[in-house]
Amino acid sequence: MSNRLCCSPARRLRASKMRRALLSFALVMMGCLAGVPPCAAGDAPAWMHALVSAPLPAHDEKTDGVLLYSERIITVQSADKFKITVREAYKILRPGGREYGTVTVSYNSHSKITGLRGWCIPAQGKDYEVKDKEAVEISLPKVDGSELVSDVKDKLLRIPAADVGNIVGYEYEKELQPFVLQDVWRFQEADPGREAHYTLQLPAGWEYKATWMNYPEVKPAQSGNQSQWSVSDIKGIKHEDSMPPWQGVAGQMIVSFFPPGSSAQNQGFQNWKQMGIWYQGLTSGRRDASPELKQKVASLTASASAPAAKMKALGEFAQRDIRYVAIELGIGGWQPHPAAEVFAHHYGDCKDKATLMGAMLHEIGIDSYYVVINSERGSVTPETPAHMGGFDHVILAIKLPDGVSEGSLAATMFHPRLGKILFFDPTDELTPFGQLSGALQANYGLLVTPDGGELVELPELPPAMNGIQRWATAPGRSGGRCERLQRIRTGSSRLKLCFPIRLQLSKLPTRASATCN
Amino acid sequence: MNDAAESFVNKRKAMEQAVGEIVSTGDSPEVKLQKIYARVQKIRNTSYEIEKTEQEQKRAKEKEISNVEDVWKRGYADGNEITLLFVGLARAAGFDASPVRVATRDDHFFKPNIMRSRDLNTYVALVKVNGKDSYFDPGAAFTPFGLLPWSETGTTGLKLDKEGGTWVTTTTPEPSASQIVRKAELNLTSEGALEGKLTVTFTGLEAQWRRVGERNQDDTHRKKLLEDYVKEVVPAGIEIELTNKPDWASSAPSMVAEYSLKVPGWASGAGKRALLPVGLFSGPEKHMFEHSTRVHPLYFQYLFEKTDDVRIELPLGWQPSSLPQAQNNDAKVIAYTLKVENEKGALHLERHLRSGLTFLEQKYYPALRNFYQAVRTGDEQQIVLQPGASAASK
Repeated sequence: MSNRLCCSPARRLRASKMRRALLSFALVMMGCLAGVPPCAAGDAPAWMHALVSAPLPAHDEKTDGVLLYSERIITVQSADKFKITVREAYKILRPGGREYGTVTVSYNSHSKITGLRGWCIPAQGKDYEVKDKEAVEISLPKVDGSELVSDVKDKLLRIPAADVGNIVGYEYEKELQPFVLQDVWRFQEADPGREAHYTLQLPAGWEYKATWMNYPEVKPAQSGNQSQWSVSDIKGIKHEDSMPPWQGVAGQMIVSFFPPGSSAQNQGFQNWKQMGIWYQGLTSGRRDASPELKQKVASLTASASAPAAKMKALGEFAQRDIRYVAIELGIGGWQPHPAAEVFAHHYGDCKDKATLMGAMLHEIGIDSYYVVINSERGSVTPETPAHMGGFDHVILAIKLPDGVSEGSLAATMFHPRLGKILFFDPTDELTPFGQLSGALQANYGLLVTPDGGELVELPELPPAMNGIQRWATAPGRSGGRCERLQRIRTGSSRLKLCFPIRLQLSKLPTRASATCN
Repeated sequence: MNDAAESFVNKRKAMEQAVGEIVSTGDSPEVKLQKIYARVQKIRNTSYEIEKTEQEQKRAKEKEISNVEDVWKRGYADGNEITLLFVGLARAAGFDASPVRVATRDDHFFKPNIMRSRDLNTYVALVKVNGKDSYFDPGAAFTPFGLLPWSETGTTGLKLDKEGGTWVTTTTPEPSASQIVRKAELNLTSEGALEGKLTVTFTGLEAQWRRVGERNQDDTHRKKLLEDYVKEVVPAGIEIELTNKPDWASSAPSMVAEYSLKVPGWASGAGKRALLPVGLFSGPEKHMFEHSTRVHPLYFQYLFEKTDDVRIELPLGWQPSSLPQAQNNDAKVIAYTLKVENEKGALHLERHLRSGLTFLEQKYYPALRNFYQAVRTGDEQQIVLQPGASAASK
């Protein structure tokens, strides 16, 4: 699964570091394999040799490499079994393109890699071939804020002679038991591509729905139950500062599959409502409070009389007293742990914290709803079709009781059926109850209610709540030196400064609180 | 340790034959050694190549190296083996040459009493030239003759011999051995921009580490590295274009980068006058040692010098009405000078910064901080320019 609901602020900050750590670790692991005898060298397959004299897609002198060929074949054998075959080949144009020689394929307890091979066609000399048994298996290196326990592993295969002027390629096959009947074809990358193909083979009587994002739609070639899409001369997407997230700019096709008959438990989503129903089913019963939790709620809210003060006390407890620890096995990447367990252990990930908070609110008579969201605004837009891969985070929408109108509760919106709702992120310990971090403001999330789901736009807080105010006093003409400079940060500006400080403080042996204005 | 080194080096006959191909009988001892050094550095150094997969190694059919004769005949070896070849050839040429196991100080500070042989983690060569002991490491790629990479300078080593060895300390090159010289010929435009040619010469270790870092990169990457360097040292937004092809491949003592440079808005208006800051290349020192306290000692990789020689042609009719005071702050191990002169309608700025520090206890931090504060004060001075009568009327 490429996306899971386990986002902490640290994870966002450290994503790039994690990628580098992963690659370094992988290369070290490759070195440890020195004793494994290499397979006998074989020729690269015909589909790769056909690319040797193929014209390259348009590129500039800063392009590290180009995708010559990409193919993703998905064969849906049943609602419980997909078979995926992937073939890709790159021409390395610059030293930075050597990384195309390291192939990474993920798998977990619901999927297995049934074949993996890589090849290099050098500009001069014989081809190289590497096989599955030369790959190393690793689990994602752990970093602060990442999952503590996950069943996702990677197979890494290093292709020989991945150097400038050479063509490297690989092929793998994977079988998986899907949680949902969906697939995403991500065909646009940082470097340009010559051609990319996607083939969908469905059992008889099945239907599909394909939605294109950030790219002109291409109609498939149809043959029986097989549909084939192709794109060519795909432009690379160069990174620029302050650009929207990758998911918001890169071309992709999202496909949902539907078995015959609408009663099937496991199927793709026609719309957000269906996805909401699926998530509602996944979380059913998870917010039941244990006697201990009920007692804790009573104790936390004992000194507060107004509903807003009670909600704030519960929110602060969920944010600060429940440690962020993600344990995600199988469907646990999506399904929260029961609130009673989260409370008993005093730890959980974003969806666990939201579940606990929901359970506690219920105990004081306040309804709340999951909001499944992406931690990067721009990843999901009103045009995005309902699919699992769009999200990586869960927060809460709290139905405000009548008469609650405190000015500090700013992150609110009026919902036609629910009335006034307040968005709250129990994972974000540095954003006060009533506000939202900048990345979530004006973002789109799946609001999950008993009636199903709907995509809603979260509120955007006024600029004054996300600012830096600076005061300086100076003695005037005679002096010249600034005597006093004071700075107050609010909203997301404060979060950006405080979070790294909190990370450092959390490594200290004694408890310390962060003060960062 | 000595036995291992000597059994690798001791191929006298083969070495004498090889030396005959490298040096001439009339060469002075220094020239002989230089020729041997240059030839040895041409051996393919596998320590600096991208690690091969097992299949690539198998296909390359490269045999194991057992001694210096193998290195010479096969034309490839790792860095240590190349340095030992240098020892063998130097001996064959009549020099008193010894292998020395040293502890690189990028990795650890050596403690002899720990008695851990692996802490002495690389070879250098000690050669007596004209009666003087000199250290060499031709196995460290791109290191000019007479220098060691910074991690091997000023560190403990064991000079190997039959008796077990003698403790030595490798030399630390003077600041002048590792320089950055920035020479600029610029025009001040009527819009306040500086435009012209910039030549940056990196010498000694300043050239060596850049060449090592870029050894497996291409021209585009190297160009960006050199252009980014200028963007870092000029404390303003600039337009910069590398115009030559620097020598990335050799161990020559210097590497020259030529640029076309534009610094928009470097001069600012002040009524009828214009103000021109003098610290054109002061970026790195602008925020150096700003913290008032220091917990750990200060550690510098190598001694260095930075010299700026900037000539600025003023717009027709413009003259400096006030030049900054010359600076001369010589704290012996570290020094800074700045001088601005009016040379017939052109400004000539000379700035010099020399650092002779490798390790400094924290108790000296306030003094060092004060020094760099003085550097900043000097660099922030401004030249006041005023138009002549004809220019003013326009």
